[in-house]
Amino acid sequence: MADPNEPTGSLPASNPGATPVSASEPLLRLRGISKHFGAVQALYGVDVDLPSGQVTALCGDNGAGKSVLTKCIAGIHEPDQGEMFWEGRLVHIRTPGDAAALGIETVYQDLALADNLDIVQNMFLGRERLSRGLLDEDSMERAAAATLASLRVTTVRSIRQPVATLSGGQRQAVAVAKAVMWNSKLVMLDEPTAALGVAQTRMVLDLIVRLKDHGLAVMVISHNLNDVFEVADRVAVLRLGRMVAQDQLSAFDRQSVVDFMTTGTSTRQVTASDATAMKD
Amino acid sequence: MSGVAGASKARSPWLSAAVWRGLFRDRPMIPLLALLAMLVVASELVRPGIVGPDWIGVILRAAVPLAILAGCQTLTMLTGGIDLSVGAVASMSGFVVASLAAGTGTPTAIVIALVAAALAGLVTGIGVGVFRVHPLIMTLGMGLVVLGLANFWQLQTLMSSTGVPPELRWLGSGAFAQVLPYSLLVIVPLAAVILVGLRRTGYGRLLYAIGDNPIAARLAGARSWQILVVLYVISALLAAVAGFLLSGYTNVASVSLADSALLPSVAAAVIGGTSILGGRGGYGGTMVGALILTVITSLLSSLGYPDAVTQILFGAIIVAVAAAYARVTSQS
Repeated sequence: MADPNEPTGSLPASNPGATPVSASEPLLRLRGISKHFGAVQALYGVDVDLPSGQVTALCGDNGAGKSVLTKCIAGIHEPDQGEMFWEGRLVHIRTPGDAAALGIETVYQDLALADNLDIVQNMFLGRERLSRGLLDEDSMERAAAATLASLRVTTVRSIRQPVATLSGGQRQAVAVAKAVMWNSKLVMLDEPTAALGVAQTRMVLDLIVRLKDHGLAVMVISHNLNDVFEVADRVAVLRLGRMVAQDQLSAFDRQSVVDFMTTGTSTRQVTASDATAMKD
Repeated sequence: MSGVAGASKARSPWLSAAVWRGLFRDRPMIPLLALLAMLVVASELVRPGIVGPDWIGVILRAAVPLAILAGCQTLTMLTGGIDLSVGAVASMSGFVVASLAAGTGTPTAIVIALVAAALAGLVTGIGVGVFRVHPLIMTLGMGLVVLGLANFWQLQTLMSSTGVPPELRWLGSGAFAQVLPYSLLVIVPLAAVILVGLRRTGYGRLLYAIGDNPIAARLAGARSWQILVVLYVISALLAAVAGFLLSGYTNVASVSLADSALLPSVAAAVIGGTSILGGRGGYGGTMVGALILTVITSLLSSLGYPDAVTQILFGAIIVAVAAAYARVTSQS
């Protein structure tokens, strides 16, 4: 694997490192992930597959455990039980650094951008390039510009403007660009279209499709079923810490997703597949 | 100050509020230097002939320790903190050198004082970074602890001779050609390190990020507790250096030597454009802020008002400048 601290600068046309070991092996496979906080059990033996080149939508009501699951993958929480297989290999992700080293990047709901720093400074925050001990601004600026261009983020006036001056959609685009710059193979986005206008939502959804086209595995957490049905290839539904349904998008319709989110079962049969069965 | 700025704004419609706001935000040095120039002109008008090489030397000599202490505030304020222990740490360091120099020699005494200051900074940094005590409370408390320890030390050394060693007197009050103070030999390299450190190193970038959005800094993999511990040690060491210069400048070894410099050090950083909320500012503006405060002090004392009036004016001017600055630079 390439050094994760060495950003690619732009996305490769295809991502050979992300090629699964076998056609059926997803990039990241979680088995039996459990997590509790004190007396509160947040996740009960969750299984989930995140294949390369596909967008997996993680749905669920408030408190279903979507954010906890994301944070377990991102290395912010360590699961109590369960196993994670990265490209078929058993891995332990204990810190955000471990996740970054594998190629997992997360775009958080609160965006995690520093308002007074400019776009380049934010994209390299905590991983600045140095030249003779000092910051190498030119090289960072070029890499940031190349990444933004490869994602076709063109509405930004200057990459040296503070992110406080950007619109919500532009900020989201910067956060996504920051996530994909590090040779990442899996990008997780937490409510990427929350609080965005129609045009900006369009721009972010296009961005998600572009990540998928570049061969990355994408996981999108969303309440918004319009977004889910627009960009997702696969849907996984959490309810009260349990994975109640996981399948290709074609196995669901809007009503069945809502049913799974609220009751954990659905009487609507879109296809014959048993929605609760894992497809190992 | 703000009155002069307001008047010229009213006379020149092309200098709209937006222009001023942009000027303050993007090039804060220009209005700050303009303010400094106006104060120098005012000093000359009040006392014709006063502004000359000697006057510049006096101003610089007084401004250098203040600028170093204001550097402590700038660095800590960038992370959303503040260091109210700098007065006590500076006084303690100056006093330790004065009380030990006769026995151990000045270099050893300086090293001992720096170690003591670094220990105080380490405790402060652990309190702020690891135990998440608010910097205001932590540094206020640590300042009292340091002051108490210094008082205790003073009682122990009452019998022995204390006096500011000649090396510090030379450094704090001597000057090249009676104009450029030797203390510039200290602040010029210090300022260069701080300016380059803030602008061109990853550590400096993270100081801004921690003050701007601590969550973003953490998610970016920054270990903020380590950064904060190092920061408060740096701040205490800077305060100690300021204490050495201040004791050499005043030729006084007292455990309350730098107390009166604490609030001006905060004011200099604020006037210089560093946000007390963190994430914005820099050391260049702070140094000009220290010069501005020193010139104001000299101007007020040359007016010949009683001390009480001078203090009231000084406080009022600081508040007015800081308020005008906050108003002009607010982003909304």
